[in-house]
Amino acid sequence: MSPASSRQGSHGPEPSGSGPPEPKSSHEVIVAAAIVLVLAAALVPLPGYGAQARTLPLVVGVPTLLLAIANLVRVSIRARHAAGDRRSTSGAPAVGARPLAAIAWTLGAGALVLVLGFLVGALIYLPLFMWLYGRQPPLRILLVTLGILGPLYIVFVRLLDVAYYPGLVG
Amino acid sequence: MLEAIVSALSSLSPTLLLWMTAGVVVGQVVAVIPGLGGVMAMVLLLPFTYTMDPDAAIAMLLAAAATAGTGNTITGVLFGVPGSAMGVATVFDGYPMAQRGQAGRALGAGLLASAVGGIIGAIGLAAIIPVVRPIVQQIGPAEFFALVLIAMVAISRIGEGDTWKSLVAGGLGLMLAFVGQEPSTGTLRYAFGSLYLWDGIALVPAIVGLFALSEMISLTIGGNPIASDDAGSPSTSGVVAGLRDVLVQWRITMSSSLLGTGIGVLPGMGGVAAQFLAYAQAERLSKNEIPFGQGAVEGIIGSDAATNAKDGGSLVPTLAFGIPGSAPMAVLLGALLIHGVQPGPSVLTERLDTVWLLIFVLILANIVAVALCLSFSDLLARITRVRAAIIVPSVVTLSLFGAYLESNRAPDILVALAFGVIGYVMQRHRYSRATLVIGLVLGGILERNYLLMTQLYGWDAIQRRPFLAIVGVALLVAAGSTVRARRRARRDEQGSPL
Repeated sequence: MSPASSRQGSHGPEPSGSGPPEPKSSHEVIVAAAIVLVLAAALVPLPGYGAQARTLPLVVGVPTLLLAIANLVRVSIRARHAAGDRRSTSGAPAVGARPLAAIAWTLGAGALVLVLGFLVGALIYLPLFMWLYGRQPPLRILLVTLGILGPLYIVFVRLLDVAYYPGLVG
Repeated sequence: MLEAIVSALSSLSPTLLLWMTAGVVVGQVVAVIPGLGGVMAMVLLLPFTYTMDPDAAIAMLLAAAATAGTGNTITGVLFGVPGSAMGVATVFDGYPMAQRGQAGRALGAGLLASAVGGIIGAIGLAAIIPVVRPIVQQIGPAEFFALVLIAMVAISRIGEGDTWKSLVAGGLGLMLAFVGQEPSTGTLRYAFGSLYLWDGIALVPAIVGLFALSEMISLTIGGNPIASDDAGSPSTSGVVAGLRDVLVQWRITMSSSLLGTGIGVLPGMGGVAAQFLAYAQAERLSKNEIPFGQGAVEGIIGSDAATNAKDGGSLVPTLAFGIPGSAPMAVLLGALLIHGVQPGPSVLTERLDTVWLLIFVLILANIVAVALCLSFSDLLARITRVRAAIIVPSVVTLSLFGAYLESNRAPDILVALAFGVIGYVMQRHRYSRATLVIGLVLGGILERNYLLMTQLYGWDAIQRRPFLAIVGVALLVAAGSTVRARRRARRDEQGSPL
């Protein structure tokens, strides 16, 4: 799982100029549709709340849902025009494979921390990522791991008496 | 008055200054952890102050809180990660600048703007105290509601690119803010039987996920450092250019500082709203050709100056009325009570020396903080060149640490992860994370003040609070100008030879 050779990273909080590659049109439609579903689902329980509790969610939710539906229509029309536009280059991995792997790495880090606790989870995640993904030499892996966890331990655990998250098995 | 000033100056002993510096250092270290801010620094230091000299204790706590915003600038610029909820606006332009190899300039501008804002806030505190009572008594829920609305409409301009998607994201953010207990009746909304969601979506883990984890997912995909290959090398001249920017853009620096001080005076508004209002104001005053949200240094100057200036302002209701203006002030209020200082009208007469001591501490702490950070800024700017294989796991680890430490709840880690994925999807499909987080952050304040306003004034609110009518007109003007600006930007884009 080595880093990509071409630049696909993001630029700033919102992509500008040469930001992430254009997503597939079908993915855009799926995301837009998902947002419409979420907003519609958010309006469903409102009648069960009291008048005061449902006022602002209604005032905000209904216009937002209408905007989201308009956005879905717009994106669908664009997707139809862009049908057949090939975006993947020859030799590149299947679209979505690399993003899924990146998401899996992040979720994996969280899972390790949640289950095993912060210290053990980080001690596994940091070296594993740098070795498997980054192909870093062992000495650098060791130095970076100590460089991140060492100061955290000294400042928070020893000096400020803050305990690490123990984990579900801790 | 003069006696109080002299007494305060004489309290500035080397020991007190040492404790103040310790507070600054702890504030900076804590602020570098994504999601942890001034409140966490104060909470961690508070137990150590029980046996300390009262003046030193209060100086250390105030220094930690007042300068944590300076640390926010570092994480916001270098990693695109808000150090806390009050550092969100810094990311909008700081991170794009870092990606263009201008991290030094962004750091220099942000750090000096923070210091100037903090000093002006302290001076503002000194000036406002004699006249604060009638001012604060005029400001009520209706005015708060109006101010938050202004901030939200004004900020909608920065959701670059797709207007539809920005508005949808903002609406989603507001809906997320409604999760949990409704403020007046306690009705549970969208909790789905989960005790964790009774308090709503945890803000800090959500922000950490939306900005930190999503950026790290993007870096993992790209495999490149934060700064692009064709960006120039970070250098000291970049930092100096940033310092110069603050002086050249003195109108933005001053107006944002004064705005932050004024907003800080209003209990409950805090730096969260101040940064967005100041950011929008900076955009109006800026003559920069670079659009805000894409690396305009004025955006950093406006938001950082206001965020630090608000500390001076928020001391006003804390000291004068015993009403904490923000979460850090609530902790400071506790510390004052522990050490025998009773906030209230009497503190302005019987403990004026303590008030002046706080003013001097604010000024000195901001100077020390910016001097410390500037001395390392060149080194810090080089972090943007570190390869993704090292930056990504480091930031992810620190982010998960910060997300948990904020409230010591394991589900906060899940929230951070979920918003990390959501943030990446939003980024990839060009939905504005900025407007989502603004809705999430300001939605709760908006609803609370709306409910209070309707309970106090009913539907006569506009008639009984004329300020609302003025704000209504201002909002229409702001909305119209936003639509015109977007149409102009789209026309320019379509007409561009590029």
